[in-house]
Amino acid sequence: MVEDSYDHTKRKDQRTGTYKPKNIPVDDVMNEVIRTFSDAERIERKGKSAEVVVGKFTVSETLAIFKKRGYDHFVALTCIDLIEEDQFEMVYHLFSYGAKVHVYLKTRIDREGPSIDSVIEVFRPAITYEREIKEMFGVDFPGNPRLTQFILEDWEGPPPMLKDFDSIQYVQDHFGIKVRNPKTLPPKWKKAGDA
Amino acid sequence: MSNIVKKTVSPFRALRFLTRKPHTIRIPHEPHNDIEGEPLPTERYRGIHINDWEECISCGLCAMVCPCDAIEMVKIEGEEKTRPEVSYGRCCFCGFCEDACPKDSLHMTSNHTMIHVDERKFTFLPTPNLKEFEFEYMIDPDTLCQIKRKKKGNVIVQGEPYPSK
Amino acid sequence: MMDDFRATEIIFGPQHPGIHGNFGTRLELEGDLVHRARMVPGYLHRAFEKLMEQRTWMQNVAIVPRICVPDPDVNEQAYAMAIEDIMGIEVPRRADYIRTIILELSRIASHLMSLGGLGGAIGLYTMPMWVNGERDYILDLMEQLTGARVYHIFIWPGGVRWDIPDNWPRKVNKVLDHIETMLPHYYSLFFESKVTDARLKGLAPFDSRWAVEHGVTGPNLRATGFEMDVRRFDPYAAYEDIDFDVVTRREGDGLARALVRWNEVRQSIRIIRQALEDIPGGEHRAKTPPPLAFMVPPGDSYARVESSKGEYGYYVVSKGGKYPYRVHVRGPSFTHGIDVLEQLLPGNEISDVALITGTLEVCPPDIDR
Ligand code: SF4
Ligand code: SF4
Repeated sequence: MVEDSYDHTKRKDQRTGTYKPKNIPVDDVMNEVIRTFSDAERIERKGKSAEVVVGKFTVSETLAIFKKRGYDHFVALTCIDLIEEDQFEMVYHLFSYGAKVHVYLKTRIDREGPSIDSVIEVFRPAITYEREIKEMFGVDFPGNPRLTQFILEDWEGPPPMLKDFDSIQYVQDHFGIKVRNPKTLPPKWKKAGDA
Repeated sequence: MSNIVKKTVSPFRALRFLTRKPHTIRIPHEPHNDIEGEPLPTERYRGIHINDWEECISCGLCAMVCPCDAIEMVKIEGEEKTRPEVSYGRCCFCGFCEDACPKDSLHMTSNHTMIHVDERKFTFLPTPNLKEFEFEYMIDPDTLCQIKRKKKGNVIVQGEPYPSK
Repeated sequence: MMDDFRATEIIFGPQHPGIHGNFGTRLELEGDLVHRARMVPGYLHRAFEKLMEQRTWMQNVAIVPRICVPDPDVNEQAYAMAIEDIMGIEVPRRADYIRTIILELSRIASHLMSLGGLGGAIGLYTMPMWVNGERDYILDLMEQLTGARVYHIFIWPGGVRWDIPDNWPRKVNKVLDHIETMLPHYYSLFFESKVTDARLKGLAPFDSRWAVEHGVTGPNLRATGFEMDVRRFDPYAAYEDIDFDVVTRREGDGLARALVRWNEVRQSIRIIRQALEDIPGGEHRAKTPPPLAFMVPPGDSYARVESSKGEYGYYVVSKGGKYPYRVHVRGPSFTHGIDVLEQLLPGNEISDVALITGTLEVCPPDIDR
């Protein structure tokens, strides 16, 4: 029982426009990206996905190319703390509703004073992801107006998602919780230089 | 016009449900049954642990696999081997300890009524039989009051209300 | 005209404003119109992403369902799919069908609960009572199959934990029949009510282009007329072999979003019936290493599933070994619960705030994680 469509009085501020997915093969877009940016490098993946590694300063432009070619669903932005290489890896996940291909766009930034330009001009949903990464990893995003406090209220420690933040030690110090079975403790991560 | 009348009257048709049997389970204890009237919980339910001490070889695998760090192998007086002790303040009732046990001695029963005022002290040493065990705090399903079993003696004092912290 | 006009700032929440969890909203009001809104998440932050880096691959199966309370199985499915993709495990077909059945049962429970929440938000308190009765039958089924009512911990990498019990399919069919007979009552109670019309029609509308630009997915996107469903365009589990319709509406307002959910319950019932009918025999679990020696080769993978709220994704990074290196959870509410709401709320009355949050089905647990 699917009812007939109904009319609703349109509000003044109603946004108008219908989305039409574009179906452009990922290989074409990848070739265009690699032609445009000399530092872009494509990495082979299996399945319906593609991966490209670009330089830190060309992220916005590359994302704009993808967006124009129909890869306009911004899925997520992930930050990975590669502590042993003293770098952060940023992964921009894109998806095309037309071509149905998932694109991993990766770039590396330094772990000391981490900073990368915000991409909210191209992809608006990034605003919340960048806000979270600022809080959890301490990465700065110049150009994002909303890097305010997000989840962690009254937090004074280092960014907690960093690999060298020892959460088990923190919990023991602050809440007096005992480790019942020390054999199950996970490995500890150290910076490349530290012994 | 008829549309408006329909839209005004329609929601009141729900009134006929007043005569139906409610879903709510009441106190004193009513059994909880599924749609066919069979009692719940079933065998698969993951509740309080039991452990057959004859079988258990104190290998500690259950403690290794526990995601919540809830199991500690403890030494018991009069026993050579260490036995797993579960902290119910931590246990998430995933049942991985039961799956990991190589001798099939650790099991989870479908009994799930238990209570304690301090989650950090809520530890429990699984033994072969739940009933015989000195279990400090359980809820009586009839009255929703706490049953206090005296250690070892198995005397049940009923009707003591759940103490506020 | 008043010269000394002043805006009032109030803090709305963090009790449940028509949603599943604690979530605050700071509103700047002019009269009773919202002038500016700022979301205040964080009340449910349990640091799951950090926790998962400190648990072995299999231990995490017990943690992931806790991320989303009303619809926990999608987490297990997405996490398992990501690992299966990295390891190249072939899941037995029977396991795929069992997964499909659980996922759809969970979707029904979640959609019913969200409709109940909407009923509560507009003052129709019969709705939350009824849906919880129906949901209880589904929880009973889950308990008989998986051994737990809410956090099932049932879908492993490589298959499912147990096979279905003997008379379980018959019980599922009975529950589905019952829900199907109840659906018209819901319709006459909720959708044929003048209150619903007055409150939900034209509420916070947006169209498909705006929705895609802002990362809205799931039923909220389908309510704008764009036929987007992960089950259709990137089929996982057994959805390829199953015949179902992707429900869409074109209006894009609050009522359309509620109607999409209501109609999806019917599609879910259809999917479960087919899956129970066609379920193949065989193993329910692929051969995988034992939990304590479960290692995943280096690699990364993003797995997406369609949850009752939108696209749910797990990005899993492995550097080899017993522990994941990084697990990123893409909750559907992360986009439409913060930025989209902040843009939709201004201009609406304060009484509609909880309702807009409810029709978008913002799920705070998957924002905070
Ligand atoms: S895994 Fe089984 S045999 Fe080993 S210590 Fe635990 S209960 Fe005993
Ligand atoms: S059920 Fe799970 S959490 Fe509880 S003791 Fe066993 S392994 Fe640990």
